[in-house]
Amino acid sequence: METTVDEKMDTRKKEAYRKGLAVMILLLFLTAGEYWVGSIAYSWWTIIFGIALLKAFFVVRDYMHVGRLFAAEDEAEL
Amino acid sequence: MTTQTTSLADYRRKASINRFGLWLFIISDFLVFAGLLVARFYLMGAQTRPEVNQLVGLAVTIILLISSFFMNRAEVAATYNDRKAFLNNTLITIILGVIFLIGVVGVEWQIAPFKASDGVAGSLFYTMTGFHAFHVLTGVIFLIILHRNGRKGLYTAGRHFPVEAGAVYWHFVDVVWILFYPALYLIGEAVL
Repeated sequence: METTVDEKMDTRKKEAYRKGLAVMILLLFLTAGEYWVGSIAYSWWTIIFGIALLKAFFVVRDYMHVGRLFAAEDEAEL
Repeated sequence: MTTQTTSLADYRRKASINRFGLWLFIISDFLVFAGLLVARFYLMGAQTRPEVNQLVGLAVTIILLISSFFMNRAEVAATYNDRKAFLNNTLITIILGVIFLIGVVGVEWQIAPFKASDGVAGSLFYTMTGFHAFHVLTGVIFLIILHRNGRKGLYTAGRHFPVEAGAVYWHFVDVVWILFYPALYLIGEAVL
């Protein structure tokens, strides 16, 4: 039983690490896209700023865990 | 055991209130940065920007994004009681934060072909990057305190709200730069 709990925790931890890595890759990909758009057409500010807002959204949702604010006290992971 | 359970429930309740306060602070601090961002577009428009080094801008942006990744790992490690991983990832985040500061203040500020007194572009650039750099510096100090406390074993799986607060603050600083980077480096034609 003890091992099962440990295994469960280990799986959740690995999942959290994997999610963090996926978000970082996405952010780097979007940054490259943003830089590319900026270098070919600096006047396309709506697209460039749109990409920046998308990046900010992923950080706020997945790194800052804004959802914890709306979770019940015993649901939010500490 | 009962006392410990009650105590943990109490800690969670307090953390929930603290979390609300933390986010109120983050939102109010963000409004200051939003004001700077609005000032940048109001004064310079979307057709012009300060003349800055693109390579340095891209490099410091990537460094800050990667630092957020390691901060996230540090928080996950603290959540699952992995002290060694927490300490290592926090230390990497601190180092990346210092490299970011060196990149902006030590490199970009020195090679920029204008001063803060050289018109609107100069004023905006130094105010925006300076105010942000100060937040990075306070974030680094916060992380050093977390690292020191972590070494003492003050954080456990169920009791590590300071780590969450430090992580949220660090990611907030990252979010601000995510919005500042295109405003200062990408949008518009470079002017002195």
